[in-house]
Amino acid sequence: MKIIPFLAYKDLVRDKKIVILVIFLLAFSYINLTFFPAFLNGLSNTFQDEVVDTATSHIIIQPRIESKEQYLNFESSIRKKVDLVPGVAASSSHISLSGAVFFKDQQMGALVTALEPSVDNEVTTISQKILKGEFLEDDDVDSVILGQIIAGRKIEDKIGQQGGFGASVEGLGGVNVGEKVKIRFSNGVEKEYKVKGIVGTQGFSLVSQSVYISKKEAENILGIDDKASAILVRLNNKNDADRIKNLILESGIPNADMKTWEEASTFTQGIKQTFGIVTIVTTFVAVVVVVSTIGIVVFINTARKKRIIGVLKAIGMQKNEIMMVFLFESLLFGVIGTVIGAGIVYVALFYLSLNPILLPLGALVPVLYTETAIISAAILIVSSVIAGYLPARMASRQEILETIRVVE
Amino acid sequence: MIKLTNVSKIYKMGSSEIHALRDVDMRIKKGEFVSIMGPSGSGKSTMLHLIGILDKQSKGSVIIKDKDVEKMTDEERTAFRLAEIGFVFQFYSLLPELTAIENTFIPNMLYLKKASDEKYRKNAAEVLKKLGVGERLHNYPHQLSGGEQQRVSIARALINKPQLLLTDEPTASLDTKTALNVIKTFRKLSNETGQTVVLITHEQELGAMADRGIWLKDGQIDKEKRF
Repeated sequence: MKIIPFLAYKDLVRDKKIVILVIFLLAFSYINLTFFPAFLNGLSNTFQDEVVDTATSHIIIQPRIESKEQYLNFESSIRKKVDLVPGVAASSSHISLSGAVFFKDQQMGALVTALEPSVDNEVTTISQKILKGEFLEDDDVDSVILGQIIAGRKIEDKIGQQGGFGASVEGLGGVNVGEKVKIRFSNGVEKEYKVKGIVGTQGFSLVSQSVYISKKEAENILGIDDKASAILVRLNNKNDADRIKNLILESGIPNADMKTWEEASTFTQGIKQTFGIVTIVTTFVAVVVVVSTIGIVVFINTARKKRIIGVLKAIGMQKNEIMMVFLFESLLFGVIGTVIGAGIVYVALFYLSLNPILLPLGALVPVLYTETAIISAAILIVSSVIAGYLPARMASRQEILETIRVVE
Repeated sequence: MIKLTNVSKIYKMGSSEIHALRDVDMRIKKGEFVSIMGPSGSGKSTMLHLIGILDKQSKGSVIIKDKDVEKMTDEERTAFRLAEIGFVFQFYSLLPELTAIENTFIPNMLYLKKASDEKYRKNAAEVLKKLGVGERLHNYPHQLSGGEQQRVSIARALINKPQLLLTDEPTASLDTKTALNVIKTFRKLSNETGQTVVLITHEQELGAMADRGIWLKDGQIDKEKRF
């Protein structure tokens, strides 16, 4: 069957400009099929990492809902037990409080998280996100760390005057390090704190929206001891989370509910599902573009070659052989387009792995999973062949006498 | 070689019928060079299409090389044309993206599927040289004159050494001198290799170069003459 690739190749070489155009269109369809999911994967990883690094760590242990307990009791002994499990790097207790923060004439509701900085440094990256001032010490009882959204800022009005007509504030309107804020906790305790530092990131972050105090201060306010709202467990390898969670479960922690980072981050799972739907839509659009392009190109090609197809049939070329020539052309379009598209995508991904995209949400490194790359290639190649099938079949089944009467 | 018995061909155009051929009986012997002549609409091309098994008769029987073509499947008819019949068309019908030698070896590639590229090229070059276009092997159709293109299409028709060569107005787009040369080529083929040639033409003087002429009129044989 040497004749099929021979004729397909010769036909394609003849129309170089159209072939190059079609191949690049297919290459960009492949980029569309793969780069968009890679971008979304990178985006959800950015969210996921942020949540893991500041809110859940790799495993989070919380009081079982059915137990109606607000806290885990004997948190220090639970942590000792957890720290002994192989694969666990460190653990840290958090106490959650809610309250309202007051500054001058501004006030804002906030989630207050209490932690033991010296221990928490091994588990979360909250202390590394300090933008101004310093982070807490274990013994700080009169200091507070504000997230930058809580600290807020003044927004200039349209003519550039601060505080002028149309001006507004965000958060508490711009609290500076060293200034004092008052917090009214949900249990009714009110206390004034000196702002020791402001935390946050350039992009999306939970820390920007939180208030942090020391665990010692939280125990004073709540009048509790050796209790925690949650214990965050950092692992040596986050992909071991399921296995280590089972080991911790086997060690026996009463009235505790345990979730891996994947189970805990329902927010990012929701984002991934949303992105999944968006990806399906972009895939559908890419397939429509590919099928239309290849279908039209093959259809025009066969219509233009009507007489030649008739002559080839007259001199002894079978219908199926003629159909295969055009299908082979479609296959070549698909394969070459995919290879070029994949080349561009992988070069771009390599570049972006060294130079992440800086978005308002944070630094983003697109991640392309091998199965997405393979499935996208298969979709593109199969769509190309399917698109070429109908016009190729129509061309091969034309009556010889109808076609050879056509004068070129 | 060719035996048409009581052959009719009727085309249906809506509710009306057009009788392109009416009860035609014709025999062509192996090695004979026959020209079929007649005015437009006389049934010349219809007869060539039936002999070339490109079309099916409405009535009667068409036997080519002792085979009743009506009993063949589509695939068998195509395979039979490839092995036994060479076609030369009025408008050359060469593939513009192929050189002279490539156009010529296409039927050879279809017929000798397992042969090497060198074999195809060697076979094609031999035929093209015999037809006097051996210097133009690697030229594309648009680089060849009308006469040269027609010679390439004759080479393509001959490469599988078919027993029957069917030519449909092969000189219609050529000047007188070139047309004469093309017909002389057929004459030479018939004399030297015993090739059976059927020439459809409306030019009497060219048709007279065959062994025998058959004139058609209104779908019937009007007269026959041996030259």
